[in-house]
Amino acid sequence: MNKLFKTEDWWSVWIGLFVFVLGLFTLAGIDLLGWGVKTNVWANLGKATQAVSSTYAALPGAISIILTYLFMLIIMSVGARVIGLNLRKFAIGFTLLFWIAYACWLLGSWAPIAVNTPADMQKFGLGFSLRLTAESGFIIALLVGLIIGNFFKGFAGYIKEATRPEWYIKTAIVILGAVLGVKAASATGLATAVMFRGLCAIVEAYLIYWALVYFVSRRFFHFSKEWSACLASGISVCGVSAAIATGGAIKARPVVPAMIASLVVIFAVVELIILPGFATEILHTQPMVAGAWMGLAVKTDGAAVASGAITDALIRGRAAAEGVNWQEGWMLMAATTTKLFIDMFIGIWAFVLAVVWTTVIDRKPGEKVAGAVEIWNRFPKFVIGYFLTFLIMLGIGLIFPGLMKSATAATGEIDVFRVLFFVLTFLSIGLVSDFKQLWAEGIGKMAVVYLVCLFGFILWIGLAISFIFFHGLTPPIG
Amino acid sequence: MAQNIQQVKVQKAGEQAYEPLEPIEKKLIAWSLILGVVLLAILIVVSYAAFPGSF
Repeated sequence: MNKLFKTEDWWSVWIGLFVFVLGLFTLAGIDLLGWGVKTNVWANLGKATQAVSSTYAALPGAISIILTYLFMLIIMSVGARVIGLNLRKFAIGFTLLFWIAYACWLLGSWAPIAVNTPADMQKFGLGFSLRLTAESGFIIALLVGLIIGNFFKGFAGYIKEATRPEWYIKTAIVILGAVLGVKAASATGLATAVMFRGLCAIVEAYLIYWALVYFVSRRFFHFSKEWSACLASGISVCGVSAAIATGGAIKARPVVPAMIASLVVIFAVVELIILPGFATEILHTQPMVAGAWMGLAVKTDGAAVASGAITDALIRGRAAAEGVNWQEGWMLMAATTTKLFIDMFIGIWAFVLAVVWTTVIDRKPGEKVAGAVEIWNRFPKFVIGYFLTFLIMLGIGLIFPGLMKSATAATGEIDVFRVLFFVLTFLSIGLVSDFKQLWAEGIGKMAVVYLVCLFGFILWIGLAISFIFFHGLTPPIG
Repeated sequence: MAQNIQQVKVQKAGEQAYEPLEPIEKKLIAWSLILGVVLLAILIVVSYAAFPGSF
């Protein structure tokens, strides 16, 4: 029972579910989260923020932001306290992180940065806009984090206790499940296709990518089995979790998966900046292909889901400019589902590797083969939270179609917190990415392996197979 | 951890003595790829049948 409250992984489930349950009260007409801050695309700062629910329309935007901050501070501090973090340092760090993150999100929503349709350009009286959509706030947070993390290390160290990108993104994904569950209820055929595609991604990532990366690493770059196995998992499956799970499975030295995890985060950061724009250029007529591609190509949960969100916004903006108004969230669903299905099998893969390593590759006399309990130990628990919230909202939408409007309002309210956890994730990822230290630790050669594999086959096989499964499919019209 | 990182700095990632690919590794890689391609082909056929709107 203790283990259920001692890890960030489990606390992402508890906090995500807590926010979700509070949102569910909306279905009964009790609005518990409507004071959360909604950030509009703005030209006039006075109109940038408001309470997300009309029930709280009289609440000034500034008060909404403060209430949102206090709520998030309290729920995260409870988790921090139980996990055993230094509560004072965490609270101070979280406070600074929140306000920096929110400032980044607010800046990303500024009209000359965000607006990307002719109708909105006219509405705001703009002759020019960067057309990056409000999701550019994620990139701004990431860049600010990188600047602080690499050039203001004293400050980065000061807020380190609260700089926990894994925790924030896992919590966000648990909440995201509910948001996507409601969408899935409105178009079950497409949602089922997305789920099926997620299953196919498992085959690609584990059987094809992993084998190829391992081969390239061993044969052409002469890495040892220890480095190659962890690299293969990090590059082809899911950077941080898979590299660490693999390291544990094959009993690698701890520094090996740690360095690889850092490498993957750096590449995911670069992909997040480049891929959504590129996907929009080449796939704006194939939106679901673009979404699924993000889930396959970007190797951390945070960057993959954010890439999906940015791609969703960019492609919808482009379509809207041509008079086609696709529903929001379907490309994001494709990216998220693909990535999470890959994540689900980390535990099984770690078990398979442990068995293969101890019986065949690196057999040591008297060594016991890993037990099946390893599958559960390695299973990313936040995925349970995601599917729980997804299936509950899907069930509500299908069984009680009359509640769809309330359900949509409920998920709109909890989405406020999902977005803020996302922004916190990207700020945190930037803060922990210390390029100088990683280079000094010999990450250069591994980076070359990553570049060769990513541009050699991971991107293109992923694109080809996403195309085979998803071309012609479009989101419903919103 | 600090000592491990120091060891890695002295012996950077990939600068260990080269261990050639063993026959068992080649076999596992080949079978993994074959199984992956075959499964994908099956899944594509199933997808075409179950979700005709995809094509």
